[in-house]
Amino acid sequence: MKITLPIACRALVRIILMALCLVSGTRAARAGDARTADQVRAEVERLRKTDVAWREVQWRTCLLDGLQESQRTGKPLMLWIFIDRPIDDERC
Amino acid sequence: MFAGAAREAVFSQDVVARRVNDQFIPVALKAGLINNPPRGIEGELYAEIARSKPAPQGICIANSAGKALVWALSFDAEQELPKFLDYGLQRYAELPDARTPVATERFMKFPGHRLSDVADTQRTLAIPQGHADDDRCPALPRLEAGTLVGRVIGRPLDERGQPIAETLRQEEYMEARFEVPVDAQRQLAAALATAGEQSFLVPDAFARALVAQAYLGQLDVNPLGGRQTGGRIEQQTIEFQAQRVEGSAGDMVRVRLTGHSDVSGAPNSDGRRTDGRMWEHRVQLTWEGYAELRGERVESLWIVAEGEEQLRWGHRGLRLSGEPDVAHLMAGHPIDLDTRVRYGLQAEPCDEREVDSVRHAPASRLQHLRSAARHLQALGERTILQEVQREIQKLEQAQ
Repeated sequence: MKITLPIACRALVRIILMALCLVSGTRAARAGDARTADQVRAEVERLRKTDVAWREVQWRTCLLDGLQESQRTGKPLMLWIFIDRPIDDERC
Repeated sequence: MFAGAAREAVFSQDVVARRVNDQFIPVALKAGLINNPPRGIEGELYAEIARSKPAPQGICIANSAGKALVWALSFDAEQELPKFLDYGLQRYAELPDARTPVATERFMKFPGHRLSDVADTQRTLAIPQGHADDDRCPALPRLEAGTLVGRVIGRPLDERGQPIAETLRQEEYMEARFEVPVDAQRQLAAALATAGEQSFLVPDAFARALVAQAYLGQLDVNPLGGRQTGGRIEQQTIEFQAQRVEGSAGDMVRVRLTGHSDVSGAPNSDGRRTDGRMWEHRVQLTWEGYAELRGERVESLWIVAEGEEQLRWGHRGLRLSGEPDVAHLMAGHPIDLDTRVRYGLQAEPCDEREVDSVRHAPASRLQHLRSAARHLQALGERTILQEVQREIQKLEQAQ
């Protein structure tokens, strides 16, 4: 019989395992296995992808600039109106 | 979910992206500016766009006078995307400016579900050459000088512990901006000064600023969004430690940061924003990184986190409907994620273009000006009083 644990139970099991790992990991870190600053920087850089499809459109963010360019070039505006966080963001 | 779905299903299509770049002027606008326009003539241009919107979010093609020609909230099929572009170009050829009244056409789904048109006001708005407020674009962030601004990148890991190759969807590849306010940096600096060479607890404001954007998926599933995103926070354990380490030079101090976060959220069921969304989201991460401080300010920050993430959004009915993603941009696509994840964050002080010194003028300055105005009024010094009152008005409007 296959038992499927609900998401909360699976998460609880993982928390317990993670806590055990964190304790042993913390001991290992104190023992000198901590990443160096350069290693952390390199890991952060490795995560970034520049060639993602949604970066292809060259979005302006200023309506005035867009309208002035539209008048200058004779092209219509493509407006993408979206709810985001109060600060400029890639996430939407 | 609209914006994320629009980005994935519409603007990531190669042929759409190429045509939008070549045949249109693409402008991404925050709904907040459209729905609450700034003051002045520029605000009237935003209001003109808002006047015909069928929903707070959408895709709109407008002419060179800022008149909305056609709106679409979704599309019947992927094949309709290039046809929508063709239709917009056709309307622009017929109505390129304000000389002929524009009846804005609106589609819930293009082209199959058309809504009522919105008639033109027949008012022509002048396009100003610059912004008000010292030529500052209202779309720019308004930050306090010294605010730390950075990027957070999140990616699920495969069985080998490597980031997956897919990057189209926000649950496959997430890139977002995060900020660490000046006050949070001051608190970290103060804790460091007290601790000296010892390990110390990172103040909650600073730790929370790191954790807040470390989640996959769209804004709607932010585990820490709470009522702001129609959700409720179910769990928020955020604990960071810091310690001064080697690498400090002169008055620059380097600290090593380690931490653990366990956050989860779900929809709020108290009647607000209950649009049928169903989701649950849990993110458990172990953090390690470094920050460099000079005085009360952090000059650079870089940190990685790894752990587990579970995210469910929507329900299986969406998948069973058989409709393409473009047909339900508002609801998006279902997500059922249970994965190991890795995050990377890097931040530096904000660019001066994003600094708004007027908005962030110390409150005491306003108080002093008001006090001065009362004195000047009592003395009958009208000319100087007028100048002080103009400055007070400027500061009050900026707040």
